[in-house]
Amino acid sequence: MIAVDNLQFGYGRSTLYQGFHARVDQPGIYGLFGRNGSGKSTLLKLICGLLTPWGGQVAVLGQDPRRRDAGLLASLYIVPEEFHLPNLTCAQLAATQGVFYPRFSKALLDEYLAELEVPSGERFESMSLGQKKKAAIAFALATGTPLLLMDEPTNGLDIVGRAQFRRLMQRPEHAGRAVLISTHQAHDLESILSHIWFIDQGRLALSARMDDLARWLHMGVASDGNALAQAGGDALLYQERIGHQTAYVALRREPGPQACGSSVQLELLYKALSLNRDGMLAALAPLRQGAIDAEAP
Amino acid sequence: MSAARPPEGARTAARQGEGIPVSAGNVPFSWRRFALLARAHGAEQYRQYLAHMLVTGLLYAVLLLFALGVSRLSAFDTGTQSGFYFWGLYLTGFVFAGRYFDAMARRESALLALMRPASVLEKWLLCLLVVAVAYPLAYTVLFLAISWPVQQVVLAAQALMERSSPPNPADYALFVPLLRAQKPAQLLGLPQQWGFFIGLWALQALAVAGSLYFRRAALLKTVALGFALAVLTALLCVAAGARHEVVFAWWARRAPAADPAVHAFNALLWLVLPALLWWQAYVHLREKELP
Repeated sequence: MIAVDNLQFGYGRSTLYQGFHARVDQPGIYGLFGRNGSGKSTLLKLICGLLTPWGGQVAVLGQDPRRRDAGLLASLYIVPEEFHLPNLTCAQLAATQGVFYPRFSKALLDEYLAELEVPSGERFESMSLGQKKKAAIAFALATGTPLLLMDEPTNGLDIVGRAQFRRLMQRPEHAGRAVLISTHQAHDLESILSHIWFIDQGRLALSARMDDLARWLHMGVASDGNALAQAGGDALLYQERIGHQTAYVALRREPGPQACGSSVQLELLYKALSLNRDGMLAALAPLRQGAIDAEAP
Repeated sequence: MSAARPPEGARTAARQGEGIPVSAGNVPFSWRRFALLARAHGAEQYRQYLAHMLVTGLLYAVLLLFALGVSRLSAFDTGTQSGFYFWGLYLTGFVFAGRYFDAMARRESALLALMRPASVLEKWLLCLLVVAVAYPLAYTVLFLAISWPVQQVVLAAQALMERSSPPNPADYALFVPLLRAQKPAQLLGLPQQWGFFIGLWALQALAVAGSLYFRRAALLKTVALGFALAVLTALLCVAAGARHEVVFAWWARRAPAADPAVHAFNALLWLVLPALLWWQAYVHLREKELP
């Protein structure tokens, strides 16, 4: 669905990506993580064809996105962090914009708007920022495009709104889509992600399935030093004090059973990857094989 | 490629026959898609367009009040009307064209415009249609809607004021562009009017291209660029010894000289240049990026 090969890109004289490789071959929800300025939003724009790579290739659904062909544009939708909605009602938006997307469903849009508690009869101008964001998300989900990109979708949503967002993302009609979400709000999304990408120093440092991460990593909170030693032992990869307790990330001595993805604490993992990058990546080398394979020419 | 499937019972736009069939795909032009693009554009922009027409109408009305007051109702002969018409059309048509891609000035709205599933050709054609055809038509209707009652008032008032030598109504005939006047000697000829329209289209193309090229203060920068280009062209013409009769040969009242070089120069200036400017707008739209 997405193939990025040897991507090179930057702004002005500063290079952001040098030899970036990534692949999305199967549907799922991909969480795109990285520190500020690591180029997450830029990557989404490159995938959309809103920027021209300096070198390398970006292919989306088998096409060059930079051409912005109508067929491709009808197959992908992006919700940017700073978004714009024309001053219409939701029904008008569906009638004038939804028609461009072959799989758009007005019935689903109405359901999503109801779930997100967006007043569907009001014009966007009279809505709050959070309501507009919800409407934008509802519309994006209702387009039914095979590829959906979202940049910080939970920014501006309240706690209830974030839970509603998670519920919508897990609905069965999205099972066949590839959704790429760039975010810093790791905690909001850890229950719905199927894969994570971690971008660092212009490269895809880690690309892993959440299930695999859960099998290989052990995360938790230890009440004291003994508990920490017992939990992590020699394979402790990262720890941080939380009051009198210590949160930790450790490598499992034996890979755990399948389907234990819920035990990955993304916020902790994100910190571990950011602050102990080399140690984490060395420990996760077997998982990184997927990324390494993708990077191979 | 795996495709998302809506659940059973979900009525998709394509099934309802409202949307674009998947088969439309990547063809550079689809009538159906073009119609939907026009509808979406209209739904989003009609308030702004109405406001533009309202301001244009108000400005024209104020100008008429001033001009008629100062001239004691004499400044409404057909020749003056044609001056009002073309000056107004050039000024407001340039602004209108420069604001067509107003969305590109802001990153959020630019993204929406660029990512709308229509081809670059369709987006450009819609711009051409709205800016170069629909706007001059709408402006003409507005101009006539204001001028016609004013003409009636002027004629009636002058007949009352100057009973001894009432004005000739033919001198105050309503100016309708591209229609042959009753007293053509007082008016711009039809070729001249076509020349003005072609000049307008070139100017509008410059405004559209500028609005796509410049990221900030696009209209101002385009005006500055246009002014600089005009001065440069005038200087070049002076330096080359080009005479007025040569530059405007196609639009002169007298038949143009048979010199092929004059025709070639006029073709370059009045056909190739506007076409190139519109092509430039297309290229800028195609290459537009969103950093």
